[in-house]
Amino acid sequence: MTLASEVGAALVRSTCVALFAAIVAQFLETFFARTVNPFRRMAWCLLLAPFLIPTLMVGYHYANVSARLMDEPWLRQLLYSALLCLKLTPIAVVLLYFVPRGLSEQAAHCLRLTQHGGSRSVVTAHGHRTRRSASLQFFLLELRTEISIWLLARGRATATAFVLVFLFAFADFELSSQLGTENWTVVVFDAHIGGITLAESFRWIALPLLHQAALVGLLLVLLWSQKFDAPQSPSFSTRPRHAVGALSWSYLLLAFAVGAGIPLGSLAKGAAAGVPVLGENTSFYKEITAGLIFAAGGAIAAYWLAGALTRRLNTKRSSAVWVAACVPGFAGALTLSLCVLALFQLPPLHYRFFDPIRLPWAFAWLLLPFAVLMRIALRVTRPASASRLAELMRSGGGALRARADEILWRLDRRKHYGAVALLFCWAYYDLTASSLLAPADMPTAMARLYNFTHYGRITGLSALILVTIAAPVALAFVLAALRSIWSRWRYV
Amino acid sequence: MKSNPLAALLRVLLVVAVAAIAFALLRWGWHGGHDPLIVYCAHDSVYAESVLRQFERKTGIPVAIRYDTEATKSLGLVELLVREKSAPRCDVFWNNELLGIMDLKEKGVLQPYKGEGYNRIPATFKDADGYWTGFAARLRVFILNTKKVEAKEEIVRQRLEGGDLSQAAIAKPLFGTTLTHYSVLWHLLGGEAVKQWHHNARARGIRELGGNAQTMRVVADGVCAIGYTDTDDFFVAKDESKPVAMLPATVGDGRTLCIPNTVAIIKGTRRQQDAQLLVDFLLSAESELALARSQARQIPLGPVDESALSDDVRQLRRWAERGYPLTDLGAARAACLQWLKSEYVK
Repeated sequence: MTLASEVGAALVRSTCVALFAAIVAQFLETFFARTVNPFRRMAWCLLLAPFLIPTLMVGYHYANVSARLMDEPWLRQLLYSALLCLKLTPIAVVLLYFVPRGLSEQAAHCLRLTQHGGSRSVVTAHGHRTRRSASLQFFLLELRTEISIWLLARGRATATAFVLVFLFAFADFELSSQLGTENWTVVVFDAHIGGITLAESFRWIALPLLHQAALVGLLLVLLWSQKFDAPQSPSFSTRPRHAVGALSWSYLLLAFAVGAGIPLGSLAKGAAAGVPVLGENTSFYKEITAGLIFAAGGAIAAYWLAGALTRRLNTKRSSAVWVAACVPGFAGALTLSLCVLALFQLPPLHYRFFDPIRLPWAFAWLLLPFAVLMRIALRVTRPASASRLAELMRSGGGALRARADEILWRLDRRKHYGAVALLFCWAYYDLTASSLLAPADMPTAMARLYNFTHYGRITGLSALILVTIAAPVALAFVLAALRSIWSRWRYV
Repeated sequence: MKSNPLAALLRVLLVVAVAAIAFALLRWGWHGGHDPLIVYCAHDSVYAESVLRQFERKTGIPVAIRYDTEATKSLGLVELLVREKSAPRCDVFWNNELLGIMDLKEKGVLQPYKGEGYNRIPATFKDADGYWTGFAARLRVFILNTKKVEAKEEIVRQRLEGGDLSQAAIAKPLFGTTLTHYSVLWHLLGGEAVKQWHHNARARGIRELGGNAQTMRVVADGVCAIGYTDTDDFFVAKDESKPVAMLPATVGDGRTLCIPNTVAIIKGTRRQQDAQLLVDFLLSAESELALARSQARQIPLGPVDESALSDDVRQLRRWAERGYPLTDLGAARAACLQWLKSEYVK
């Protein structure tokens, strides 16, 4: 297939994935808003797991399934699209959950009353109409009302979620390359075989980039005009309808099983027998450490930058600044990495001295859109009065200060730590940027693992993948535990 | 309070500068303050790692390795070396085939070296001027699913020569050893014959996959009956007890395709002496035997103790003796690749 036809196919696929995510997110957003803890927390875990599980692991598990579907290209595409749906739907749900409704439920109810009253009078006035045509007209008017209510309440947020998911699905390379499915990214890579100049390679990505740019433009307008606020809860305490609840739990369990549980389970099964291999690969731990360091640098930089950019929320100027700063991240890991690589080939940046900063630099830009969204989400859900009181308490000094620190941690800082930890894991799990930008003498474990997966299912490999994947999560937990110990020590 | 944009910019620049210095210091300390010998390695890390670590143990010279990955196919090591030509990062390049390194010689990226390792390798597997040297080879083979097809040359030839090819698989010929295979055919039969053969195979439904490993996988799992792959991939399936057998893929009058690893020193290296030591080590009988004993069962090209070789490797060595000469394939590869790109990349 040609690049143009692959771009066309990717446009169709990404549209389907984004549509799926946008529709499912409507239901799940309501479900989350009306579910209480601890069930809500459990539901979040199930939803986010397929997004957080590294693509490498999912691709590693489903590569063999995809190879067996060689005779059924449609099923192969379906498998790829389904995995993309499971991975990207959480983005749409998170976005819808944190963007407030443009219309409150009370306002929507009033609108319904006025519209329905009007529609009944229209039907009565045309007494010559048959009962059937009258009820049809009534149905159409009701439908129109519901559509306009939905557009007012959720239209813009849904459009934003749709575009965001579309962009991620369109730019995917890792999953399609592991599953061996055709994609425009694969065609672009093939174009590089035998060596072409960077200018030529950009000529190759011009067509897809054009589509991406158009959508990024649309996304920027949508985000720019978006107001962020705490989730409204007019009827959040009411339980979701039985059918919605059952369907939502079914989806969440299925998504978790297919997108995370099964790949993780199969890996763990093989890993147990491969534990002795871990002792033989000592250099591997050095590569894990390198990955952790670069990811930490990138995550902290992204979160710091996001904090600076979103200091003043909901003003047109500040929105324009943070939205513009997110553009490189929306371009995807491949495009961004190629740009960073080109930048660091220019004098004076081409010196070896600058090599180690290329990767955290790229990570920071790549993570910035997520960091901004998390900053905004935490800002609008922050218990401002309680935090202010704790800050005042902190000025008391001594034991009071330590207690205030603990309260602040529980109220606010813990969430920031969680956000940085999440960004840190994303950066660590990235493959494309790591492969292209890590210094030659400090390779990262994820790039190395990708090389290993070439050999398919080797017992030792499962153990190595499991250790590599667990490393950032374990580190995040260890740091949290250390903080807790330190905090107790301060009290004593 | 209004923020000053210039002050904010200066703050960002300061943070970037501090981060750059911190990461540079970290990198310096990463190898205990020693500047490591940097090796770009296109050979699979599961096999290359132990050989290079053995070199480290033996000489005390720290080695930092950058491996090739499918993910960086767009910027594979050969292309990266060309891009870094003016400010090279790499000292020694260990390639897993030969055509890429011939290309690097043409582009002036390599520097010649004829050490003791060079002398023990037969002339058909090394550059006459010493720009690169081959070692530890693999063969192009047919992998056969024994539940679907009998492992006999005659039967395989019949299945490939006429009729439906939907049960046969091959990697996309744009890269790797499949490109070498095509280049040999181009050199031997001429461009037109290769184009005809290729179009004919596609018309008869041959399955084209992303790489040799995928080809091996579909045959091992019984999706296809026959596949073109390399010996190292075949042995992965064999060691997994899959129902597979192999036969050498031949060209012309029964010549096999024996594709060596290659090693070269990069022009402009700052570690001349260490680079030469590593090249000699890789070309030694010790390294060739280590690679022969690995799961990939690579074929030693220089003289080694035959009794130290497994039956598998001894058989491969016999097949390799009938190898097609690959040293003057440069022009055929360039022409073939240009045509293939026009076929696949549109």
